[in-house]
Amino acid sequence: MAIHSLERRSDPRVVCGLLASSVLKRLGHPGKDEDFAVFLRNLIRLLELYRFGTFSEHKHRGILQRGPLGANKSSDSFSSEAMSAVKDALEQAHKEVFGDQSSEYVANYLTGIFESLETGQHVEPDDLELARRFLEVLNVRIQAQIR
Amino acid sequence: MLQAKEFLQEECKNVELSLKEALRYEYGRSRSKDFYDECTYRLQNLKRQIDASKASDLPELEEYSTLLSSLSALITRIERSHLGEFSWPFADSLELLARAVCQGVNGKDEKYGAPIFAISAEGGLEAYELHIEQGAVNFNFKRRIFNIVFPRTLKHHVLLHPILGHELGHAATTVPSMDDALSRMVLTRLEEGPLESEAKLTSWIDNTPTDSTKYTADMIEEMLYSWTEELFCDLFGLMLFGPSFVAAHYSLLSAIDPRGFDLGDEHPPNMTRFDMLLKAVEILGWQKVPKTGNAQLRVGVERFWKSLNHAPGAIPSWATICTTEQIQGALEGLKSILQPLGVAMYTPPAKDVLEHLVESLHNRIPPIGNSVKDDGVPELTDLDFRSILYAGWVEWHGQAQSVAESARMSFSDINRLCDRAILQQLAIDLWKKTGRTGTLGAD
Repeated sequence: MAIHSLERRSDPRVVCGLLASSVLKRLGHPGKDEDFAVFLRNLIRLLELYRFGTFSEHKHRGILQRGPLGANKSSDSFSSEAMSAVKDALEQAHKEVFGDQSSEYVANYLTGIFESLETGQHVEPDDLELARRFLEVLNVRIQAQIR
Repeated sequence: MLQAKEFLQEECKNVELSLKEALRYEYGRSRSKDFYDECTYRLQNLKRQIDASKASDLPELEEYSTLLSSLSALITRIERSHLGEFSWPFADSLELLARAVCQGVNGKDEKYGAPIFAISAEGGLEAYELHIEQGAVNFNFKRRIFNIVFPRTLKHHVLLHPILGHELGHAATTVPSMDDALSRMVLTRLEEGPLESEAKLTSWIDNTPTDSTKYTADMIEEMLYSWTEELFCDLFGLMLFGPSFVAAHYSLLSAIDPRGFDLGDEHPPNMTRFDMLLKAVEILGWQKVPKTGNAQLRVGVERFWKSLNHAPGAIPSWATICTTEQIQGALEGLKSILQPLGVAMYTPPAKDVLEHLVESLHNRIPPIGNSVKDDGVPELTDLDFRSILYAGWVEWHGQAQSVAESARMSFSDINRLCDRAILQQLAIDLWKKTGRTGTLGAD
């Protein structure tokens, strides 16, 4: 019997919080930082999930693997709740900063800013300010969801 | 006693050592460098995050611990699976397909980037798997790593490896743009009928030989989601690998559940899956026996399809879960998504190509794209590795008709010839890519 009975899974809420807070910390301090570029890239990927609404934390067994009924649920309540919390936090940040704009508009707009930052290009102060506000709201909302 | 942060700092050093040790082995092509670079970055990033954390940042420390543990497990799996433990020619060919389908609807998703495919071999028939990193998003992923797993005992059995086409279906759905397109154009078609709701699925189960009362509401809900995805992945594998997927699928699933009636909460019964695939094959017109004077090819193709249509325990009527119309709609959706991705979709070989490949196998020669021109000069031609696999299955069924039992090749012999052929064909492709004309001795 395993000492730790639960399969350990990444918590999307913590990941989202780390991404938002790490990028916020670095926003005013441009410079060569490999971690910053990787955080931005993953934030862009998160926005892709938001754009297409394809949040899911399902896991699957290999095609030939079998187990007793009910033993290996592809979607446990922890994962579903965690992903819902990330989605809700993104929606709240969207609403507070961008109002009624579509999720596609928001994802495109922020992705453009993050891509510019990633490649060291100039970003207009107004755009940077909107991105900062979005991340601040996202960070506050998601931190409230973390155990 | 060590505090969580102290332990994680210690474990980072251990993972770093095991990553360095992994370099002792040969892994093939550029795959090992990409893998090493990605793991090294993730580890260094984790070290920086852990060093900067406070001992009281408990949720973050827990996340770092999870990531470090996953990284350690991945490195260990790969370290034990160097060249020689699996068919690397097949793995290389599979990777080309996987790259095409795992980068979104345009085949080159700049937001997600090209994933890294790490190959490993594990014990047990059920090892066939594609470990998808949980969550396509994390804070320290430069590129995603997909770990393709082969069963170690079947290392040369390339005719069975097309089963991994199913796993590529799961992998494709991890990119949002692809997931969105597949949901809209393929999965919605499968969700009609019994897979439309819990009530309809329960009533479908009532018509099977299984006692439906043993399934709780939670299980039925799980079945609804998982079965749809599993059936979709079967169609995905079919469209990637063609007839060899059907043969591998039938051979392996029947070995796991020979009766084919088992209703799991994650996988639909085999009979349901066979029923859907055979209907799909009929729609695609792949069962047509080529009009050829070559009896060996004709008989091989005939017997190949007959073996699937008249399998032991013919498919019962209750097994149908998707109608022909639904399957046709799903296939059309898949075609429109896969066609623009170039190499991804299976194309049946021309009759003379298949004839040449089967004849080569019959003469115990690896079936590759070559011919001898009228002037006696040998010529090398392009050939899709999936045609080699189909030829292997055709020869396996065809030789029983034309060769005395004592002189027949074993299944393993045919697999080894096909494995060798895929290797040789990769060399031909590489040689031709360098600008050679394909005619030996001409340049």
